[in-house]
This record gives sequence, C-alpha cells and structure tokens, in this order.
Amino acid sequence: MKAQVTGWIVVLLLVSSGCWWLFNELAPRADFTAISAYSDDLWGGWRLTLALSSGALVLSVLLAPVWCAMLMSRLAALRTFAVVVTELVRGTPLLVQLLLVYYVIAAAAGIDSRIGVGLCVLAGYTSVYLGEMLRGGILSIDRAQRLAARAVGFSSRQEFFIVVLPQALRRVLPGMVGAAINLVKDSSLLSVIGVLEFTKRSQVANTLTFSDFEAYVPLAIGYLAVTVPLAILARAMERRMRYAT
Amino acid sequence: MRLNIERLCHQYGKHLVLENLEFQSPADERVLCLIGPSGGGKSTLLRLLGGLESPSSGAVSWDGEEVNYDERSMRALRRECGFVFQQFNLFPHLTVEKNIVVPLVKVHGWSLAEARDRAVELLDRFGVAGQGDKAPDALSGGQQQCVALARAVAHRPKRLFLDEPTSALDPEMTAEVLDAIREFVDGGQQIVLATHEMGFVRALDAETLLIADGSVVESGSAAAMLDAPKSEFAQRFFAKVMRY
Repeated sequence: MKAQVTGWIVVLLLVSSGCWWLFNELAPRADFTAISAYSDDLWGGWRLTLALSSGALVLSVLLAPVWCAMLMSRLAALRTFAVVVTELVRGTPLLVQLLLVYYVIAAAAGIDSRIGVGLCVLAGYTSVYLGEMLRGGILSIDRAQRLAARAVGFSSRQEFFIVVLPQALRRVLPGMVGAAINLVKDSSLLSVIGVLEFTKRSQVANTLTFSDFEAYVPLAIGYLAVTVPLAILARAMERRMRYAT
Repeated sequence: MRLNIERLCHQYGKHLVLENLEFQSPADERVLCLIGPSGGGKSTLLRLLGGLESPSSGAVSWDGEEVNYDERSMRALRRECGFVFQQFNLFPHLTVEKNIVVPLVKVHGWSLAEARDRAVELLDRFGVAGQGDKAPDALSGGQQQCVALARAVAHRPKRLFLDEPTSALDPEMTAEVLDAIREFVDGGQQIVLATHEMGFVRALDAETLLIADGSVVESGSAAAMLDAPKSEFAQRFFAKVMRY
C-alpha cells in the first residue's frame, strides 16, 4: 500500500514536471502559423495511416486463420512451410522486410505500388503474429473440454466451433488487440518506401517549415488518437471475458 | 443390458492401460459398477464402452451387437449415451442453461423452445433451479456436477456413463449426487458407474467389476464380493479402502 502511494507520487511528479516544461518553456514559443499551411497535408496523412492500418488489419485477420491452420496441419509439408515463414517474418525487422520486398522483390516483379506493397507487407507481418497467437489459444484449451464435447455428441466440426474456438478467442483477444495497436504504430515505417502517410507528411512539413514541436507533438497525438481507444477496448474485453476455466 | 468384452487392450503411447480385459455379464443388468485402485483402467474402460475412444484391439458388444469403432459409429453410439466426469467438464463459456440446451439443439435436433423447457425442468429437479443464466464457475462443485448430470440425461440416453462423479465433491454434495443417481437407477436407467464409494456400490448391489492393472480381477454381485472377496488382491484392496 505504502509502496503504491510512493509510486503514484513519483509518477505524478515526473508527469507534472514534464508537462510544466512542455507547456511553459516550449508551448509558449510554439508557432503554428508556418505549419498550418500544411494542415491539409497532415490531415490527409493521418487519414491514409488510418486507412492503411484498417486495411492491413482486415487482411491480417483474414490471413491469420490460414497460418494457424497450416501451423496445426497434419501435413508435414504445410506445417514446415508455415513454421519457416513464421520464423523468417518474426526473425527480421519490419523495416528490413519493407525495404527487401519493395526494392528487391516488387521491383523485380515490376510492381510499383508503394501503398499496395506497404499494405501487404504490414498485413503479412501482423498476420503471422496473429496466427501464432491463435494457435497458442487453441492449444491452451484443456483436453477435458474436447472430451466433454465428444461426450455430448458433437461432431469434430462442432467440437471446434462450439467448444474450442470460442474459448480460445476469449483467451487471445486482448493480445490480438495489442497486435492491432502495434500495427497502427508500425504503419509509420511505410515512410521508408515513400508512402506519404502521417509520419512521412509530418517529416516533410517539419523540413519545409523548421518547426519541430509543431510537427511532432501533433504527430504523437495523432497516433494516440487511434491507439488509446484500442487500448481501452482491450481492457474492456479483458474485464468482460475474465472467468475461471 | 448385456455386456460382452473380449480381449480388450488399450495403450496410450507405450503405456498399456488395458490388457486383454475379458468380461461377460451373467444376466441382463441394469447397473454395472467399476471399482478398483486409481490408474487401474476404470476410466479408460468407461470411455471405450461409451465410444469416446477406440481400443487398440479387442471387441465390445452391447446386447449381442458388436461396437464398431469407426468415427461415424462411435458418434452414433455417443449420441445414445450420457456422460458425467469427475471434474464436471461443463463448457465454461456457455451459461448453465446453454450447457444443456446447445447439445439438445445441435446434436439431437430439438427445437430451442423444447430444449429450454427441458433444461428448466432438469435444473429444477436437480436442485439448481434459477441458476440457468449463470456461468458454470459461479456455482459450487456440487451444483456443477448436478448440471453435468442434467446435461447427461437431457436427451434421455439409453445408457449413462458416470466416471467417478463424486470424487471431487464434499461429503454433503456427494450424498446429494448419489441420491440423484439412485433415483435414476430406481427409474430404470441403465448405468455404468466407476466409483470409489464402496458404501454406495454395496447399496446398489449390482454386478460389479474389480479392475486393477488393466484387467478384471474379480466380478460378481457387489455384496458378495465385498463380504467375501475371493482373490488375495481383492481381500487386500477392500481391507484397505474399508479400514476407516
């Protein structure tokens, strides 16, 4: 209890001194007139980031069950393929994957859609993580539950869809929302292949107007405007789905 | 029911759980009791008899009809049976009522309204009336086992398989669950019961199999076996479990 109070006091002191410094030293000197000329650009970048993130999220949610099914397949060849892909994707930075896929693979294939390539890499990257989570969730369901499903007469399909999957999803959903938050943030890396998303536009506006505070504080706030609601959603889900198994 | 088991073997990996188990019911039984030390093969035998798992080798027949252990026939067999397990095994993500209703609708083709009525009727009968909307883990162990019993008998199964249904319960709840089982027996329900409750086995006085190390050590009517065990193993086993 005492440690908790001390912890809160320390956190409050740090945050308030940070805010004080930000708003008393930096903010009064902030001048948004220069950058306001680029507000449409920035707004467009934010919307592109939102669209890219949503698109990649939908794609990765569709792809994740495919990875999961392959990872759990009875066919050794499929399983091995999925394991190799998973390890390749998890073992290299997203930044490297973007550069490699855009400048090497897509270039060789004659594809020149920055947004398309960026979207696909982002979706593929996230789907591998989601697939692994799903597999973990399915494996975590007690064998006794499968036995009970068979005992009440369910077919193997019903066993999976009525008993195993709903319980597995409840366990992994909070983690999946976490992956969605990461996806929104990771979309900023698409700037390296020249996608004019939120981060890239802010960098451009910063270069042209020499405004740092005025370009990067709204940038951070712009991402928080998407990720904080997702985090709140994750917490709400955890509360709703808490139960003993 | 007439049960015939021939040279039944079952192994998990390298571990041989049932070894050439043989049994023929001497008469048309209504209740069969399986007793014996833990790890002796009672649960495995129960699962094989109910078609939850297929044996490594050997044959089982009910009323002269041999059980086919292909996936289709096993599912058909399961649908005629009801199962209750030691750890209740209710579905934790469904409400108490849905635990009963969903199998009735999805497996047995009942209408939702019929299934609901049946669930309410059974929950009432097993002393858990008004708990239908709760999650299973909001109930006590004994109440959960009553729900499991209700789920097992909801579709009016031909045969009920009970795998140590009271082993996880306190004495008071044990008595309540045993009362419910007794009621089924008196109502003519066919039951195969694996249990450690020797007093209950004696009271039922049904055909009883003492199973240890994967085979039947002794079989016969419960009272006779408990009062005058023939084999040395049985004598030692009963001496131990009846000591206190």
